[in-house]
Amino acid sequence: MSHSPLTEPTFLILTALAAEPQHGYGVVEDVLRISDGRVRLRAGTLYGVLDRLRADGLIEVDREEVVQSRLRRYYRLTGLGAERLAEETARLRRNASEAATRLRRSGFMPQGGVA
Amino acid sequence: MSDADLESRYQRLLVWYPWSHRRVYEEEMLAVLVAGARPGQRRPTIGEAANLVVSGLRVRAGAAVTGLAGPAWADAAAVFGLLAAVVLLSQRVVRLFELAGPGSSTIAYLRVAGWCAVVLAVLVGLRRSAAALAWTTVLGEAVLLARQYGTDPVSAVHLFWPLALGVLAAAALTVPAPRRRAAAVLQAHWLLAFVFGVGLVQAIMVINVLQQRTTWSEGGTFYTFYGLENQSEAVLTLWLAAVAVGALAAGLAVLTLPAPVRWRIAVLVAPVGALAATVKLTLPGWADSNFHMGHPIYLVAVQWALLVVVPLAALGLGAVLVQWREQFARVAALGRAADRERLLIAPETD
Repeated sequence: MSHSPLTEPTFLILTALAAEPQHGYGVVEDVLRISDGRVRLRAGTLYGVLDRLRADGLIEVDREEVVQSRLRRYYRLTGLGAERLAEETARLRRNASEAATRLRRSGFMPQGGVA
Repeated sequence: MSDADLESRYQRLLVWYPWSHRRVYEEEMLAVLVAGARPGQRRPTIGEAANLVVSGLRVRAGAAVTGLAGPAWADAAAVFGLLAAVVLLSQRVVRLFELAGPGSSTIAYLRVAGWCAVVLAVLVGLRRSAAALAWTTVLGEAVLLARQYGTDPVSAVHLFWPLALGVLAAAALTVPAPRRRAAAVLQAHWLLAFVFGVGLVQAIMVINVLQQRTTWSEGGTFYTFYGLENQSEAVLTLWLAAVAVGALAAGLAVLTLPAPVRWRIAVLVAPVGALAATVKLTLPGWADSNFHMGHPIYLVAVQWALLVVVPLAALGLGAVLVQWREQFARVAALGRAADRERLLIAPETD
């Protein structure tokens, strides 16, 4: 079944969780790293996406810890989430490849691709 | 100014989220917000505040949509669709007699047939057919009303509320529901009580209309009470008692419904009441002008807007109030349960 494309925050959050389970602030920092400092998730956006991903079964709670009397909940990717991320990655790669091919053909991009 | 102040300010912003979301994520969100704050930051930045407000409202909207898709709204829609169709059918039957006796108007008979078919379709479990019949009948009635508005806008505007009730009934019957759900939720005996109640009230109205013709042709003294007229005070009292019994029976049928369904039915009725009240309270001057000018004066854009906005606002406000009421009840129940648990763990010694 084909799904609608993931939004950038959703894609980046799933990517952050693909490596290992992480807590909320860990995800924020990892997304900042993955996006080369371009995407800084705000709490409202982060928890809106996490809630939806949990409801859709793409992520789940890995464990909970209390650090300095604060709840720290770690999230991990589910099998379904990994499948969805792989599907989206393939879609983006196909689109990027097609865009590069056409740009090269039109002479807007050197044959070797972008540096 | 400390981290605790900053945290409490973030916490205040989180009230934009519904309780169901805060219950799960509030603590985590606070931790993320505090961890992401700059050293020495005293209050949330405009960006953070805007993000929390917009995200909170988005979650609230999502929760409202989920709530509307819940079984209580589906049950309320099914029951409301049936009850509204019964009321409209009874009203159309009375209209037959108001139009100088049966046989006077094919269209009036068609309207009776339309709502009668809707009621029967609901009762035998043909919900989709009932919805299609209701929409067809309402559409026909809207066309008739539009024509009437062209020549007699005042009487047409006073008939807006039954049309609104018809639209709501048709919309309610369009909501997917299990077969014969309305009868199952309402229960057969209470459905009969409602039909009896509405029938009794409308029967008195028919008798009153027939009686009026005699009274007016014969002349003499007669007693009146809100449109009911009779030459005998005793008979008029009897009629009033019958109307009260009918209203009580119909009201009890609705009042015995489960609370979530009952409150939602009230919400569905609210726009009809709001429309009737708006016409009554805001348009008497316009109706007077029509009466005295001798030619039709039509509603202006502001008046139309009022007739649309007020009922929609009543519907929206009602839905929000129902949600708040149930949320409050849930929190209160949780509080009671926690209190009981606390007592079981550490019984009070006094």
